[in-house]
Amino acid sequence: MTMQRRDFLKVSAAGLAAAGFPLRAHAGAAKAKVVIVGAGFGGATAAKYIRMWDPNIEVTLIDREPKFVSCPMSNLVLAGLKTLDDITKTYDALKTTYGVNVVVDSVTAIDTDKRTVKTMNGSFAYDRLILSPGIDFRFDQIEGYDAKAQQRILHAWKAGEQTLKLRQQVESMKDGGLIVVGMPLAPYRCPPGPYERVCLIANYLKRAKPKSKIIMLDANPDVVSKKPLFMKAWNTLYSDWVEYRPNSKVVKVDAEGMIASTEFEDLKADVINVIPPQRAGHVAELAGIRTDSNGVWCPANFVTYESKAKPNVHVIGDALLSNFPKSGHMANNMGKVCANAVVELLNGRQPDPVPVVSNTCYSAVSEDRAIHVATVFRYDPAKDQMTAQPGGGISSDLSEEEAIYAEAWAEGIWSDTFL
Amino acid sequence: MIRTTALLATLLLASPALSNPVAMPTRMPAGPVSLDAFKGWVAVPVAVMINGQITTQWMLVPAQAVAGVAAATPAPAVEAGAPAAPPADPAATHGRVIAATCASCHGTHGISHGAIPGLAGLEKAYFVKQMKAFQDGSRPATVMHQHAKAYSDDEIEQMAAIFAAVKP
Repeated sequence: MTMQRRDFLKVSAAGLAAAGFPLRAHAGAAKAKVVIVGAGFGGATAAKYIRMWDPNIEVTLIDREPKFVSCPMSNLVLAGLKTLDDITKTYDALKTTYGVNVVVDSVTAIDTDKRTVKTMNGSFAYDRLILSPGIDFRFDQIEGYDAKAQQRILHAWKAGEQTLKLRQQVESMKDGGLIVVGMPLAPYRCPPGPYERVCLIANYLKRAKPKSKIIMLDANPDVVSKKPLFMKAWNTLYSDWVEYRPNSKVVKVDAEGMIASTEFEDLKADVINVIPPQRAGHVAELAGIRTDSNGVWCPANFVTYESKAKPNVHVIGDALLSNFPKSGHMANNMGKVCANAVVELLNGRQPDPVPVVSNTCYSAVSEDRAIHVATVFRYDPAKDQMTAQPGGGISSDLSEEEAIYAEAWAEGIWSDTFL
Repeated sequence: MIRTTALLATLLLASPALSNPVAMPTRMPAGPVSLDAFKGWVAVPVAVMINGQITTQWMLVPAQAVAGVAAATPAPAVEAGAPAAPPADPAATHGRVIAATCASCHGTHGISHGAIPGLAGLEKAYFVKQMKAFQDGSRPATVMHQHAKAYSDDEIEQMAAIFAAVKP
Protein backbone atom coordinates (compact mmCIF):
# COMPACT_ATOMS: atom_id res chain seq x y z
CA MET A 1 0.00 0.00 0.00
CA THR A 2 1.43 3.35 -0.98
CA MET A 3 0.26 6.59 0.46
CA GLN A 4 0.53 9.94 -1.22
CA ARG A 5 1.40 12.90 0.93
CA ARG A 6 -1.93 14.57 0.31
CA ASP A 7 -3.85 11.40 1.12
CA PHE A 8 -1.88 10.94 4.29
CA LEU A 9 -2.71 14.43 5.54
CA LYS A 10 -6.37 13.87 4.75
CA VAL A 11 -6.42 10.58 6.65
CA SER A 12 -4.47 12.09 9.51
CA ALA A 13 -6.75 15.09 9.89
CA ALA A 14 -9.87 12.94 9.74
CA GLY A 15 -8.36 10.57 12.25
CA LEU A 16 -7.52 13.37 14.62
CA ALA A 17 -11.00 14.77 14.40
CA ALA A 18 -12.49 11.33 15.03
CA ALA A 19 -10.28 10.92 18.08
CA GLY A 20 -11.52 14.22 19.42
CA PHE A 21 -8.31 16.22 19.19
CA PRO A 22 -8.79 19.96 18.87
CA LEU A 23 -7.67 20.60 15.36
CA ARG A 24 -7.46 24.35 15.89
CA ALA A 25 -4.26 23.87 17.90
CA HIS A 26 -2.71 21.91 15.05
CA ALA A 27 -3.72 24.44 12.47
CA GLY A 28 -2.19 27.27 14.53
CA ALA A 29 -5.60 28.85 15.03
CA ALA A 30 -6.96 30.17 18.33
CA LYS A 31 -5.58 28.40 21.38
CA ALA A 32 -7.84 27.10 24.09
CA LYS A 33 -8.28 29.75 26.77
CA VAL A 34 -8.50 29.20 30.49
CA VAL A 35 -9.23 32.09 32.84
CA ILE A 36 -8.56 31.62 36.54
CA VAL A 37 -9.83 34.03 39.18
CA GLY A 38 -8.05 33.99 42.54
CA ALA A 39 -4.27 33.54 42.69
CA GLY A 40 -3.98 31.78 46.04
CA PHE A 41 -3.01 28.16 46.70
CA GLY A 42 -5.83 26.88 44.46
CA GLY A 43 -5.76 29.25 41.50
CA ALA A 44 -1.99 29.72 41.22
CA THR A 45 -1.41 25.96 41.40
CA ALA A 46 -4.01 25.32 38.71
CA ALA A 47 -2.39 27.96 36.46
CA LYS A 48 1.11 26.49 36.86
CA TYR A 49 0.08 22.88 36.33
CA ILE A 50 -2.10 23.60 33.29
CA ARG A 51 0.89 25.30 31.65
CA MET A 52 3.18 22.42 32.71
CA TRP A 53 0.87 19.77 31.32
CA ASP A 54 -0.22 21.58 28.18
CA PRO A 55 1.72 24.69 27.12
CA ASN A 56 -0.69 25.09 24.20
CA ILE A 57 -3.41 26.30 26.54
CA GLU A 58 -3.45 30.03 27.20
CA VAL A 59 -3.87 30.77 30.92
CA THR A 60 -4.90 34.11 32.40
CA LEU A 61 -4.72 34.38 36.20
CA ILE A 62 -6.61 37.30 37.75
CA ASP A 63 -6.27 38.56 41.32
CA ARG A 64 -6.95 41.94 42.88
CA GLU A 65 -3.75 41.74 44.93
CA PRO A 66 -0.33 42.23 43.31
CA LYS A 67 1.33 39.80 45.73
CA PHE A 68 0.31 36.75 47.72
CA VAL A 69 0.43 36.82 51.52
CA SER A 70 0.23 33.33 53.01
CA CYS A 71 -2.34 32.53 55.67
CA PRO A 72 -0.32 29.44 56.67
CA MET A 73 2.52 30.70 58.91
CA SER A 74 0.79 34.07 59.47
CA ASN A 75 0.06 33.25 63.12
CA LEU A 76 3.84 33.24 63.60
CA VAL A 77 3.82 36.92 62.60
CA LEU A 78 1.34 37.59 65.44
CA ALA A 79 3.81 36.02 67.86
CA GLY A 80 6.70 38.08 66.48
CA LEU A 81 8.41 34.92 65.21
CA LYS A 82 8.15 35.81 61.51
CA THR A 83 7.74 38.98 59.45
CA LEU A 84 5.14 39.69 56.79
CA ASP A 85 7.97 39.67 54.23
CA ASP A 86 8.74 36.06 55.16
CA ILE A 87 5.25 34.98 54.12
CA THR A 88 4.80 37.20 51.04
CA LYS A 89 5.27 35.63 47.59
CA THR A 90 5.26 37.12 44.07
CA TYR A 91 3.75 35.88 40.83
CA ASP A 92 6.99 36.49 38.90
CA ALA A 93 7.84 32.83 38.26
CA LEU A 94 4.31 32.05 37.10
CA LYS A 95 4.79 34.72 34.44
CA THR A 96 8.39 34.08 33.40
CA THR A 97 8.82 30.32 33.89
CA TYR A 98 5.32 29.14 33.02
CA GLY A 99 4.04 31.85 30.69
CA VAL A 100 0.92 32.57 32.75
CA ASN A 101 -0.74 35.87 31.90
CA VAL A 102 -1.07 37.41 35.39
CA VAL A 103 -3.58 40.26 35.64
CA VAL A 104 -3.91 42.38 38.79
CA ASP A 105 -7.46 43.65 38.67
CA SER A 106 -10.88 43.28 40.31
CA VAL A 107 -13.50 41.10 38.66
CA THR A 108 -16.76 43.02 38.21
CA ALA A 109 -18.93 40.61 36.21
CA ILE A 110 -18.98 37.06 34.88
CA ASP A 111 -21.17 36.11 31.92
CA THR A 112 -21.35 32.32 31.93
CA ASP A 113 -23.43 32.22 28.71
CA LYS A 114 -21.01 34.34 26.68
CA ARG A 115 -18.06 32.89 28.65
CA THR A 116 -16.57 36.25 29.53
CA VAL A 117 -14.99 37.65 32.70
CA LYS A 118 -15.09 41.43 33.06
CA THR A 119 -12.67 43.33 35.28
CA MET A 120 -12.39 47.04 36.10
CA ASN A 121 -9.98 47.46 33.18
CA GLY A 122 -10.58 44.59 30.81
CA SER A 123 -12.55 41.68 29.49
CA PHE A 124 -11.40 38.06 29.16
CA ALA A 125 -13.03 35.33 27.06
CA TYR A 126 -12.67 31.74 28.24
CA ASP A 127 -13.28 28.18 27.13
CA ARG A 128 -13.08 27.08 30.75
CA LEU A 129 -13.17 29.25 33.87
CA ILE A 130 -11.63 28.22 37.20
CA LEU A 131 -12.71 30.12 40.29
CA SER A 132 -10.64 29.93 43.43
CA PRO A 133 -12.26 32.86 45.21
CA GLY A 134 -11.51 31.94 48.81
CA ILE A 135 -13.85 33.26 51.48
CA ASP A 136 -15.84 36.36 52.34
CA PHE A 137 -16.74 37.27 55.90
CA ARG A 138 -20.33 37.43 57.09
CA PHE A 139 -19.98 40.36 59.47
CA ASP A 140 -23.76 40.73 59.47
CA GLN A 141 -24.02 37.53 61.53
CA ILE A 142 -22.54 39.36 64.54
CA GLU A 143 -24.38 42.34 65.95
CA GLY A 144 -22.33 45.52 65.99
CA TYR A 145 -19.54 44.17 63.74
CA ASP A 146 -20.05 47.00 61.23
CA ALA A 147 -17.50 48.78 59.05
CA LYS A 148 -16.52 51.11 61.88
CA ALA A 149 -16.14 48.30 64.42
CA GLN A 150 -14.02 46.41 61.91
CA GLN A 151 -11.39 49.15 62.21
CA ARG A 152 -10.76 48.19 65.82
CA ILE A 153 -11.94 44.60 66.11
CA LEU A 154 -9.92 42.68 63.58
CA HIS A 155 -10.38 39.27 61.98
CA ALA A 156 -6.80 38.86 60.71
CA TRP A 157 -8.15 35.78 58.89
CA LYS A 158 -6.87 36.94 55.54
CA ALA A 159 -3.14 37.49 55.92
CA GLY A 160 -1.72 40.93 55.16
CA GLU A 161 -2.46 44.32 56.65
CA GLN A 162 -4.84 42.82 59.23
CA THR A 163 -2.08 40.48 60.42
CA LEU A 164 0.26 43.40 61.03
CA LYS A 165 -2.45 45.47 62.76
CA LEU A 166 -3.36 42.66 65.14
CA ARG A 167 0.34 42.14 65.87
CA GLN A 168 0.57 45.86 66.73
CA GLN A 169 -2.50 45.65 68.99
CA VAL A 170 -1.05 42.70 70.88
CA GLU A 171 2.39 44.27 71.08
CA SER A 172 1.16 47.64 72.36
CA MET A 173 -1.15 46.11 74.96
CA LYS A 174 -0.15 46.69 78.60
CA ASP A 175 1.14 43.75 80.60
CA GLY A 176 -1.80 42.39 82.56
CA GLY A 177 -4.18 42.92 79.65
CA LEU A 178 -6.85 40.54 78.35
CA ILE A 179 -7.10 39.31 74.76
CA VAL A 180 -10.31 37.68 73.53
CA VAL A 181 -10.29 35.51 70.40
CA GLY A 182 -13.70 34.52 68.98
CA MET A 183 -14.11 31.81 66.35
CA PRO A 184 -17.12 30.66 64.30
CA LEU A 185 -18.94 27.37 63.91
CA ALA A 186 -17.40 24.95 61.40
CA PRO A 187 -16.99 24.94 58.46
CA TYR A 188 -14.57 27.86 58.25
CA ARG A 189 -11.15 28.48 56.67
CA CYS A 190 -8.31 26.51 58.31
CA PRO A 191 -9.83 24.28 61.03
CA PRO A 192 -6.80 24.27 63.40
CA GLY A 193 -5.86 27.90 62.69
CA PRO A 194 -7.75 29.61 65.52
CA TYR A 195 -6.27 27.20 68.09
CA GLU A 196 -2.78 27.70 66.68
CA ARG A 197 -3.34 31.44 66.97
CA VAL A 198 -4.23 31.12 70.65
CA CYS A 199 -1.07 29.05 71.25
CA LEU A 200 1.19 31.52 69.50
CA ILE A 201 -0.29 34.66 71.06
CA ALA A 202 0.04 32.91 74.44
CA ASN A 203 3.63 32.09 73.52
CA TYR A 204 4.27 35.80 73.01
CA LEU A 205 2.48 36.77 76.24
CA LYS A 206 4.50 34.20 78.19
CA ARG A 207 7.72 35.71 76.88
CA ALA A 208 6.86 39.43 76.81
CA LYS A 209 3.75 40.14 78.94
CA PRO A 210 3.51 37.34 81.49
CA LYS A 211 0.73 38.94 83.56
CA SER A 212 -1.60 38.99 80.54
CA LYS A 213 -4.17 36.42 79.52
CA ILE A 214 -6.05 35.12 76.48
CA ILE A 215 -9.60 33.76 76.45
CA MET A 216 -10.85 31.78 73.49
CA LEU A 217 -14.58 31.89 72.73
CA ASP A 218 -15.30 28.89 70.50
CA ALA A 219 -18.74 28.70 68.89
CA ASN A 220 -18.21 24.94 68.48
CA PRO A 221 -19.07 22.42 71.21
CA ASP A 222 -15.46 21.23 71.28
CA VAL A 223 -12.02 21.81 69.75
CA VAL A 224 -12.55 21.17 66.04
CA SER A 225 -9.07 20.01 65.04
CA LYS A 226 -6.07 18.23 66.66
CA LYS A 227 -7.89 18.41 70.00
CA PRO A 228 -5.62 16.32 72.26
CA LEU A 229 -2.55 18.12 70.99
CA PHE A 230 -3.89 21.65 71.43
CA MET A 231 -5.26 20.71 74.86
CA LYS A 232 -1.84 19.41 75.79
CA ALA A 233 -0.18 22.64 74.63
CA TRP A 234 -2.61 24.75 76.64
CA ASN A 235 -2.32 22.54 79.74
CA THR A 236 1.44 22.13 79.74
CA LEU A 237 2.89 25.23 78.04
CA TYR A 238 0.25 27.90 78.61
CA SER A 239 -1.87 26.93 81.61
CA ASP A 240 -1.38 30.39 83.20
CA TRP A 241 -2.23 32.23 80.01
CA VAL A 242 -4.98 30.39 78.08
CA GLU A 243 -8.61 29.83 78.99
CA TYR A 244 -10.70 27.86 76.49
CA ARG A 245 -14.51 28.16 76.45
CA PRO A 246 -16.53 25.87 74.12
CA ASN A 247 -20.17 26.58 73.11
CA SER A 248 -19.37 30.28 73.29
CA LYS A 249 -20.41 31.91 70.06
CA VAL A 250 -19.69 35.63 69.84
CA VAL A 251 -23.08 37.13 68.97
CA LYS A 252 -22.32 40.81 69.52
CA VAL A 253 -19.36 43.16 69.68
CA ASP A 254 -19.07 46.70 71.04
CA ALA A 255 -15.99 48.35 69.57
CA GLU A 256 -16.42 51.55 71.63
CA GLY A 257 -16.61 49.75 74.96
CA MET A 258 -14.35 46.89 73.76
CA ILE A 259 -16.85 44.20 74.75
CA ALA A 260 -17.38 40.79 73.14
CA SER A 261 -20.69 39.14 74.05
CA THR A 262 -21.84 35.54 73.94
CA GLU A 263 -25.37 34.41 74.80
CA PHE A 264 -24.19 34.01 78.39
CA GLU A 265 -21.76 36.81 79.19
CA ASP A 266 -20.14 40.12 78.22
CA LEU A 267 -16.35 40.16 78.22
CA LYS A 268 -14.45 43.44 78.39
CA ALA A 269 -11.01 43.09 76.83
CA ASP A 270 -7.99 45.08 75.70
CA VAL A 271 -7.72 43.33 72.36
CA ILE A 272 -10.67 41.62 70.65
CA ASN A 273 -10.06 39.40 67.63
CA VAL A 274 -13.25 37.96 66.16
CA ILE A 275 -13.11 35.60 63.18
CA PRO A 276 -16.59 35.88 61.62
CA PRO A 277 -18.60 33.12 59.92
CA GLN A 278 -17.69 32.75 56.25
CA ARG A 279 -18.97 31.91 52.80
CA ALA A 280 -17.51 31.46 49.32
CA GLY A 281 -15.95 34.66 47.99
CA HIS A 282 -17.95 37.29 46.10
CA VAL A 283 -16.61 36.15 42.71
CA ALA A 284 -18.51 32.87 43.16
CA GLU A 285 -21.72 34.85 43.51
CA LEU A 286 -20.91 36.82 40.34
CA ALA A 287 -20.74 33.50 38.47
CA GLY A 288 -23.95 32.23 40.07
CA ILE A 289 -22.34 29.14 41.57
CA ARG A 290 -22.80 29.80 45.32
CA THR A 291 -25.80 27.52 45.19
CA ASP A 292 -25.84 25.20 48.22
CA SER A 293 -29.02 25.22 50.28
CA ASN A 294 -27.90 28.25 52.30
CA GLY A 295 -26.33 30.11 49.40
CA VAL A 296 -23.00 29.92 51.22
CA TRP A 297 -20.70 27.40 49.46
CA CYS A 298 -20.32 26.10 45.88
CA PRO A 299 -21.36 22.54 44.94
CA ALA A 300 -19.17 20.91 42.28
CA ASN A 301 -18.28 17.42 41.12
CA PHE A 302 -15.11 15.91 42.53
CA VAL A 303 -13.71 14.58 39.25
CA THR A 304 -13.39 17.90 37.43
CA TYR A 305 -14.49 20.46 40.05
CA GLU A 306 -16.97 21.75 37.49
CA SER A 307 -19.76 23.65 39.21
CA LYS A 308 -23.06 21.82 39.51
CA ALA A 309 -24.80 25.09 38.63
CA LYS A 310 -22.86 26.32 35.59
CA PRO A 311 -21.11 24.37 32.82
CA ASN A 312 -17.48 25.23 32.01
CA VAL A 313 -17.07 26.94 35.40
CA HIS A 314 -14.86 25.09 37.87
CA VAL A 315 -14.49 25.91 41.56
CA ILE A 316 -11.69 24.94 43.93
CA GLY A 317 -10.36 25.84 47.36
CA ASP A 318 -12.18 27.09 50.44
CA ALA A 319 -15.25 28.09 48.38
CA LEU A 320 -16.14 24.46 47.58
CA LEU A 321 -19.01 22.66 49.31
CA SER A 322 -17.36 19.45 50.55
CA ASN A 323 -16.20 17.41 53.50
CA PHE A 324 -12.63 18.68 52.92
CA PRO A 325 -10.85 20.79 55.51
CA LYS A 326 -10.66 24.30 54.07
CA SER A 327 -6.87 24.41 53.90
CA GLY A 328 -4.20 25.76 51.58
CA HIS A 329 -2.91 22.23 51.10
CA MET A 330 -6.32 21.00 49.92
CA ALA A 331 -6.63 24.01 47.59
CA ASN A 332 -3.20 23.20 46.09
CA ASN A 333 -4.25 19.56 45.56
CA MET A 334 -7.61 20.53 44.07
CA GLY A 335 -5.72 22.90 41.76
CA LYS A 336 -3.84 19.91 40.33
CA VAL A 337 -6.87 17.64 39.90
CA CYS A 338 -8.76 20.52 38.27
CA ALA A 339 -5.77 21.44 36.06
CA ASN A 340 -5.53 17.85 34.86
CA ALA A 341 -9.27 17.65 34.19
CA VAL A 342 -9.29 20.93 32.28
CA VAL A 343 -6.27 19.89 30.18
CA GLU A 344 -7.83 16.53 29.36
CA LEU A 345 -11.27 17.98 28.56
CA LEU A 346 -9.84 20.70 26.32
CA ASN A 347 -7.92 17.99 24.45
CA GLY A 348 -11.03 15.90 23.96
CA ARG A 349 -10.03 13.24 26.48
CA GLN A 350 -11.49 11.96 29.72
CA PRO A 351 -10.06 13.20 33.04
CA ASP A 352 -8.80 10.91 35.82
CA PRO A 353 -12.05 9.18 36.88
CA VAL A 354 -10.99 8.44 40.48
CA PRO A 355 -8.96 11.39 41.80
CA VAL A 356 -7.08 11.16 45.08
CA VAL A 357 -6.17 14.28 47.06
CA SER A 358 -4.42 14.70 50.36
CA ASN A 359 -4.14 17.16 53.19
CA THR A 360 -1.16 17.74 55.44
CA CYS A 361 -1.57 20.58 57.85
CA TYR A 362 1.00 21.69 60.40
CA SER A 363 0.31 23.99 63.34
CA ALA A 364 3.01 25.64 65.43
CA VAL A 365 2.27 25.49 69.14
CA SER A 366 5.42 27.32 70.25
CA GLU A 367 8.63 28.75 68.81
CA ASP A 368 10.11 25.25 68.51
CA ARG A 369 7.29 22.73 68.54
CA ALA A 370 4.62 21.83 65.98
CA ILE A 371 1.90 19.26 65.31
CA HIS A 372 0.08 18.03 62.21
CA VAL A 373 -3.01 16.31 60.85
CA ALA A 374 -2.88 14.24 57.63
CA THR A 375 -5.77 12.81 55.58
CA VAL A 376 -6.03 11.31 52.10
CA PHE A 377 -9.38 11.49 50.27
CA ARG A 378 -10.34 9.20 47.39
CA TYR A 379 -13.28 9.62 45.05
CA ASP A 380 -15.99 7.00 45.47
CA PRO A 381 -18.00 6.95 42.21
CA ALA A 382 -20.78 4.81 43.73
CA LYS A 383 -21.47 7.38 46.47
CA ASP A 384 -20.32 10.41 44.46
CA GLN A 385 -18.26 11.61 47.38
CA MET A 386 -14.69 11.94 48.57
CA THR A 387 -13.94 9.36 51.25
CA ALA A 388 -11.26 9.78 53.90
CA GLN A 389 -8.88 6.83 53.53
CA PRO A 390 -7.68 4.60 56.37
CA GLY A 391 -4.42 5.62 57.97
CA GLY A 392 -4.91 9.35 58.40
CA GLY A 393 -4.40 10.96 61.77
CA ILE A 394 -2.57 13.44 63.96
CA SER A 395 0.89 13.71 65.53
CA SER A 396 1.70 11.48 68.47
CA ASP A 397 2.93 14.47 70.48
CA LEU A 398 4.10 18.08 70.39
CA SER A 399 7.29 17.72 68.41
CA GLU A 400 10.52 19.62 67.79
CA GLU A 401 11.17 17.50 64.70
CA GLU A 402 7.80 18.50 63.31
CA ALA A 403 8.60 22.17 63.84
CA ILE A 404 11.39 21.66 61.27
CA TYR A 405 8.96 19.86 58.94
CA ALA A 406 6.36 22.61 59.42
CA GLU A 407 8.85 25.17 58.09
CA ALA A 408 9.82 22.85 55.24
CA TRP A 409 6.16 22.20 54.44
CA ALA A 410 5.61 25.94 53.99
CA GLU A 411 8.68 26.29 51.76
CA GLY A 412 7.53 23.23 49.81
CA ILE A 413 3.98 24.35 49.17
CA TRP A 414 4.97 27.94 48.41
CA SER A 415 7.48 26.70 45.84
CA ASP A 416 5.05 24.14 44.40
CA THR A 417 2.41 26.86 44.02
CA PHE A 418 4.41 29.90 42.94
CA LEU A 419 7.87 28.79 41.71
CA MET B 1 -0.77 -1.19 8.36
CA ILE B 2 -2.19 -1.55 11.84
CA ARG B 3 0.57 -3.91 12.83
CA THR B 4 3.23 -1.52 11.52
CA THR B 5 1.75 1.40 13.43
CA ALA B 6 1.61 -0.54 16.64
CA LEU B 7 5.23 -1.59 16.18
CA LEU B 8 6.31 2.00 15.63
CA ALA B 9 4.38 3.15 18.67
CA THR B 10 6.16 0.51 20.72
CA LEU B 11 9.51 1.68 19.38
CA LEU B 12 8.66 5.25 20.30
CA LEU B 13 7.64 4.39 23.83
CA ALA B 14 10.78 2.33 24.31
CA SER B 15 13.05 5.13 23.18
CA PRO B 16 15.29 6.39 26.02
CA ALA B 17 14.70 9.95 24.88
CA LEU B 18 11.11 9.54 25.97
CA SER B 19 11.59 8.17 29.43
CA ASN B 20 11.95 11.38 31.44
CA PRO B 21 8.66 12.84 32.67
CA VAL B 22 10.18 16.25 33.37
CA ALA B 23 11.34 16.56 29.80
CA MET B 24 8.32 14.56 28.73
CA PRO B 25 5.11 15.74 30.30
CA THR B 26 2.34 13.27 29.52
CA ARG B 27 0.48 15.53 27.20
CA MET B 28 -0.57 15.69 23.62
CA PRO B 29 1.97 17.61 21.55
CA ALA B 30 0.75 20.45 19.39
CA GLY B 31 1.73 18.74 16.21
CA PRO B 32 4.24 16.41 14.62
CA VAL B 33 7.32 15.86 16.73
CA SER B 34 10.83 15.23 15.49
CA LEU B 35 12.88 12.49 17.07
CA ASP B 36 16.64 12.36 17.35
CA ALA B 37 16.64 8.60 17.02
CA PHE B 38 14.73 8.72 13.74
CA LYS B 39 16.40 11.51 11.84
CA GLY B 40 14.29 12.95 9.07
CA TRP B 41 11.14 11.38 10.45
CA VAL B 42 8.49 12.74 12.75
CA ALA B 43 5.84 11.08 14.88
CA VAL B 44 2.23 12.07 14.35
CA PRO B 45 -0.84 10.88 16.20
CA VAL B 46 -3.35 9.07 14.03
CA ALA B 47 -6.65 7.45 14.78
CA VAL B 48 -6.99 3.86 13.60
CA MET B 49 -9.91 1.51 13.61
CA ILE B 50 -9.21 -1.78 15.39
CA ASN B 51 -12.09 -4.21 15.89
CA GLY B 52 -14.57 -1.43 15.37
CA GLN B 53 -12.97 0.79 18.05
CA ILE B 54 -11.19 4.01 17.22
CA THR B 55 -7.90 4.21 19.09
CA THR B 56 -5.01 6.60 18.85
CA GLN B 57 -1.66 5.39 17.62
CA TRP B 58 1.60 7.09 16.81
CA MET B 59 2.97 6.87 13.33
CA LEU B 60 6.39 7.75 11.94
CA VAL B 61 6.28 9.71 8.70
CA PRO B 62 8.93 11.60 6.68
CA ALA B 63 9.43 15.07 8.10
CA GLN B 64 8.79 16.81 4.77
CA ALA B 65 5.38 15.19 4.55
CA VAL B 66 4.11 17.34 7.41
CA ALA B 67 6.47 20.31 7.10
CA GLY B 68 3.58 22.69 6.44
CA VAL B 69 1.71 21.58 9.53
CA ALA B 70 4.81 21.80 11.69
CA ALA B 71 5.56 25.33 10.51
CA ALA B 72 2.05 26.44 11.39
CA THR B 73 2.36 25.10 14.93
CA PRO B 74 3.16 27.89 17.37
CA ALA B 75 6.18 27.36 19.61
CA PRO B 76 5.18 26.64 23.19
CA ALA B 77 6.02 29.38 25.70
CA VAL B 78 7.70 26.96 28.10
CA GLU B 79 10.06 24.12 27.43
CA ALA B 80 8.01 21.46 25.73
CA GLY B 81 10.48 18.60 25.70
CA ALA B 82 9.77 15.36 23.90
CA PRO B 83 6.29 14.00 23.29
CA ALA B 84 4.30 11.34 25.03
CA ALA B 85 1.74 9.07 23.55
CA PRO B 86 -1.73 10.33 24.35
CA PRO B 87 -3.44 8.51 27.21
CA ALA B 88 -5.14 5.41 25.93
CA ASP B 89 -7.69 5.14 28.72
CA PRO B 90 -9.42 7.57 31.09
CA ALA B 91 -7.22 6.51 34.02
CA ALA B 92 -4.01 7.29 32.15
CA THR B 93 -3.47 10.58 33.96
CA HIS B 94 -4.18 9.14 37.42
CA GLY B 95 -0.49 8.56 38.08
CA ARG B 96 0.68 12.04 37.21
CA VAL B 97 -2.00 13.59 39.41
CA ILE B 98 -1.22 11.53 42.52
CA ALA B 99 2.50 12.13 41.94
CA ALA B 100 1.71 15.84 41.69
CA THR B 101 -0.08 15.74 45.05
CA CYS B 102 3.21 14.55 46.66
CA ALA B 103 4.77 17.76 45.34
CA SER B 104 2.88 19.94 47.83
CA CYS B 105 5.42 18.88 50.49
CA HIS B 106 8.22 17.30 48.45
CA GLY B 107 8.45 20.02 45.77
CA THR B 108 7.34 20.11 42.14
CA HIS B 109 8.58 16.94 40.36
CA GLY B 110 9.76 15.77 43.80
CA ILE B 111 12.58 18.33 43.83
CA SER B 112 12.63 19.44 47.47
CA HIS B 113 13.20 23.00 48.68
CA GLY B 114 13.82 22.25 52.33
CA ALA B 115 14.11 19.65 55.08
CA ILE B 116 11.49 17.34 53.58
CA PRO B 117 13.36 14.69 51.56
CA GLY B 118 13.25 14.99 47.77
CA LEU B 119 11.76 12.20 45.66
CA ALA B 120 13.32 13.16 42.32
CA GLY B 121 15.52 10.44 40.89
CA LEU B 122 14.88 7.89 43.64
CA GLU B 123 15.39 4.39 42.35
CA LYS B 124 12.01 2.84 41.62
CA ALA B 125 12.49 -0.27 43.77
CA TYR B 126 13.74 1.86 46.67
CA PHE B 127 10.69 4.14 46.50
CA VAL B 128 8.32 1.14 46.46
CA LYS B 129 10.13 -0.49 49.38
CA GLN B 130 9.98 2.68 51.49
CA MET B 131 6.26 3.14 50.85
CA LYS B 132 5.63 -0.46 51.91
CA ALA B 133 7.77 0.10 55.00
CA PHE B 134 5.69 3.17 55.87
CA GLN B 135 2.53 1.11 55.35
CA ASP B 136 3.56 -1.74 57.65
CA GLY B 137 5.25 0.52 60.18
CA SER B 138 8.73 -0.97 59.77
CA ARG B 139 10.05 2.48 58.84
CA PRO B 140 9.16 4.94 61.60
CA ALA B 141 7.75 8.26 60.43
CA THR B 142 6.04 11.40 61.68
CA VAL B 143 3.54 11.62 58.82
CA MET B 144 4.36 9.28 55.92
CA HIS B 145 2.87 6.22 57.63
CA GLN B 146 -0.48 8.07 57.55
CA HIS B 147 -0.24 8.93 53.84
CA ALA B 148 1.23 5.66 52.58
CA LYS B 149 -1.68 3.51 53.74
CA ALA B 150 -4.05 5.28 51.36
CA TYR B 151 -2.39 4.09 48.14
CA SER B 152 -2.67 0.80 46.26
CA ASP B 153 0.34 -1.22 45.12
CA ASP B 154 -0.34 -0.16 41.56
CA GLU B 155 -0.47 3.52 42.51
CA ILE B 156 2.81 3.22 44.40
CA GLU B 157 4.38 1.65 41.30
CA GLN B 158 3.11 4.52 39.16
CA MET B 159 4.46 7.18 41.53
CA ALA B 160 7.78 5.33 41.78
CA ALA B 161 8.17 5.24 38.00
CA ILE B 162 7.41 8.94 37.65
CA PHE B 163 9.89 10.07 40.33
CA ALA B 164 12.58 7.59 39.22
CA ALA B 165 12.59 9.21 35.80
CA VAL B 166 13.17 12.74 37.10
CA LYS B 167 16.73 14.06 37.07
CA PRO B 168 17.19 15.59 40.54
